[in-house]
Amino acid sequence: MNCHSSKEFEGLPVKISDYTSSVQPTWCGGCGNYGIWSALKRALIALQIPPQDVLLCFDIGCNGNMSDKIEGYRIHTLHGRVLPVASAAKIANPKLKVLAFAGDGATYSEGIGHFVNTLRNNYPISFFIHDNGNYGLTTGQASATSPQCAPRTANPEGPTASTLNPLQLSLSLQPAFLAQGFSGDIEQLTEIMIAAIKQQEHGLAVTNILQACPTYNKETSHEWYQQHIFDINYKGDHDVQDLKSAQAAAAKQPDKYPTGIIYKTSEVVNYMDRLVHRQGDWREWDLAKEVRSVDTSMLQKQFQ
Amino acid sequence: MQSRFSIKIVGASGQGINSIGEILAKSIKRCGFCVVAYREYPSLIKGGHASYQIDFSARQISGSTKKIDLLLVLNRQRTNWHLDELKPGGIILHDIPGPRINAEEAEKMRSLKVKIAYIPAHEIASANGGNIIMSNIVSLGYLWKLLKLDMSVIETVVSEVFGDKPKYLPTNIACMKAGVAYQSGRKPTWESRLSQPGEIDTGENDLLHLNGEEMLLKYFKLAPNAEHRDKLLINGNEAISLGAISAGVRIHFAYPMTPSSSILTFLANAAEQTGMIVKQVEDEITASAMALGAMHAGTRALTATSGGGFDLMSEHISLSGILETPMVVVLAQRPGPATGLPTWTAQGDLQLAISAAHGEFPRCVISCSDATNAYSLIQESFNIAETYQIPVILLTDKLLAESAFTVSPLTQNLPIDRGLVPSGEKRFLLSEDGVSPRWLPGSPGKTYNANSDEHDEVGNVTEAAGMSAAMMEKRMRKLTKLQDSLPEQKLYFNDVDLSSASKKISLIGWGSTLTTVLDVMEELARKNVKVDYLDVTHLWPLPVKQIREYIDSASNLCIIEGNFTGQFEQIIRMETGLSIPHHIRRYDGRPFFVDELAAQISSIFDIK
Repeated sequence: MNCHSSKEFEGLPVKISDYTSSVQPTWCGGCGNYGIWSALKRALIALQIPPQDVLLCFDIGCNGNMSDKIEGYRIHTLHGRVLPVASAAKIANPKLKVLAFAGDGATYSEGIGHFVNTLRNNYPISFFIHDNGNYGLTTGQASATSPQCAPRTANPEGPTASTLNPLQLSLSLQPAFLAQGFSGDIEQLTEIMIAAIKQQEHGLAVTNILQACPTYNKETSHEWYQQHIFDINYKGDHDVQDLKSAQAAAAKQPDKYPTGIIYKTSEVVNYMDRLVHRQGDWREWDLAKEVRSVDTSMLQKQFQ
Repeated sequence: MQSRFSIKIVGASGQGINSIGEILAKSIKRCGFCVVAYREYPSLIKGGHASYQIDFSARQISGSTKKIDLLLVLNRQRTNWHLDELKPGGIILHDIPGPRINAEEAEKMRSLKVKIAYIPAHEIASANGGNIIMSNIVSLGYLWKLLKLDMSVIETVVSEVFGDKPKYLPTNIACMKAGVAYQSGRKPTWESRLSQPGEIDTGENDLLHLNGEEMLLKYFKLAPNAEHRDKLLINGNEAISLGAISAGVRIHFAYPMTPSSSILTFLANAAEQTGMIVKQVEDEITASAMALGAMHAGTRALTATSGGGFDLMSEHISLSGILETPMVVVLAQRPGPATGLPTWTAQGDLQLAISAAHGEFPRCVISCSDATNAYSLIQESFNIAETYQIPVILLTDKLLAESAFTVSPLTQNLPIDRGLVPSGEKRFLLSEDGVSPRWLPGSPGKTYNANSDEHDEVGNVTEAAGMSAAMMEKRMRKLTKLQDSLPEQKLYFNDVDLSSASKKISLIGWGSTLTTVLDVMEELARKNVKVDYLDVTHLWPLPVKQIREYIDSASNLCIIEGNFTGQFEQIIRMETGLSIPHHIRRYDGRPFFVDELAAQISSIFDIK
């Protein structure tokens, strides 16, 4: 993968400072959100997207606390609900680059119905899951991705439900784009985010980000992940268009965690392309401008 | 001479009751009558007892009566004769060879002096190449002839209805014409059935010897009024849908739930013409979240549901409150709690609408009361939602949502008021009237954070006491501004001269009650009773001044609403401090019927 160094951004019209908020981060020292935050800004700059052209949609939790630590149009929604809000915003204004962020609690528990149906609909947005294996902001309860052996607040004996494999779940739902990143590998995550944002031209991009939570997740720490991840794209022998290979990679968890682009297909039709009654390329739609008074007299004739 | 008539078609649901009901209703309207069509049906797809009632008159009517003049009975499995609803001297037309009539029913028929006519519809349908469902069209043809109305009208309507199934059209037309041509030439032959084994022979079958055809022709001497011909026969959901189209709504997100589902169906079927995006989503949480997301990005998006779905939407109503992102939800009421009576009517969700969702925030609750204002109030809902940046809940109920009313073409198209600015500095500016500049994501200039956490003027999180209080006060100032600019609530009254009236009474209510009350007023006018009705459409914030004045000036005052606890009465007391001496409440899933409500009012106020 290419490395986007800070120097590479010098002299470009859209600068890191355009995304710099005056509000200081409040995350714990060593929190994986710093890495995600950094990769996000780098990806936006690499793509030269001005803050006016993005809608960053946040769920509730430590990830959502990013909403005022970055510039751009932002909406901080409710727990588990970021996907329908973000998808609808994209439908209303496809020119916006819509990026949605949520934790593992929001994605794989509170909002799992939205996650499943967002994949089924293939709404053309980029979705990033801050998967830190617990509910950090509510002081460390078990999430669907907490390891089995790990005691958690409210589950001192360990989780009472099986651990969910996010990659396998996504792959069962015909994802147009599935990637996994690691908060400790900012360079790789930047590249993944760039690809995920570009994917919006075609459909949904889902990226699960393995995120260190030094305060509550002692089992899968930054160092632990460093020893258990492998870059699936590194050797160049992984066919991202082959579902079986992707499934095999996903099945390696929890022993080994593949990172990089796991799966990508152009065979899944996105939601907008399914709207056959709409005129023109959806990428040019602007449903805000379509709002105008409509004469309904012709439609009333059927009632006479 | 009575001036209005009521026909009720009864049978099993799934049997085509609605199809012939709609054909009949539209045909009668096109002949120059004002029609009201009211449906009752159980919450299942096939089987069970369903009905389609058509009230009609040459004058303007909008309510249904409980008592029926003519019953068309098509239920062949378990015949229900609806004798409690039949008027004395009423008519039963049926297509049941060898119907069962038990002793109790026979006794009732006798005491009501019921007239019965039979048409062997299935036989006739078979002879004309039709199946058992098409026997309904045979009966319809027969009934049409008995009404002595223009043949070409119903033929046109049948052609229109079956226009998308051209294969079946010729058979349907043939069956209908055969029904028209049918003449019994004999007395009904089924009186002997009364003495079948297991049934009691009453020994007196005289009522069954009346010749139904003659009686019908004599009964219906109706003079049409041409002004109704070109009016619309339209239900509340269709009017709301058209109003939404008129208001520039570009996306509809919904999850089906009776009685709101036909908004989804109508808008989906109209999408090819309107270009609207109509999306059935996975649940009501999604529907509300997507409506909010689409509105946030700057289009107009609608969602609609009933009480149970509205419960799921409430967290996004709260979100709309703090984000100051406009949102419009149609809440079509049916009786609860829980699944309740899914296909019946109620006005039981008013207090839900004004208080649903956590936290305190300004909102607007409006109620449709007829098809005409449903069309304009949905437009107004969007204007209020966008101007004040608040959630607006538009109430309707099953009676209004699914009954068809005869109304003039809908021409009240409100100018679109979006309250947007091209760009700004402080999205949540602590402004004097509480309304802050709203510009859309994607606009050039300063970006902002629409934050579900309490925030400062640019949307950054705050937990500071001073800013938290200031933001709450700012948002709530919008409610004061809205209350000050509410439109005058409409006062209806009958054409009785106050100086010579035998009595004056004042009524107040909300929702579809208006449709019944208007007809009640006419009934009471005949008793020289002056009746006023204040139809309150804007329920929150409450137009306190006008309601206080109305209550203060009323002498015989009664509030009418379709719930157990008197929800609107409580709100009035809470907001005005005034009590209303009399109330009529209904909570059995049935709407107010004209004759029943007139009797209840007459009883309260001792009107003879």
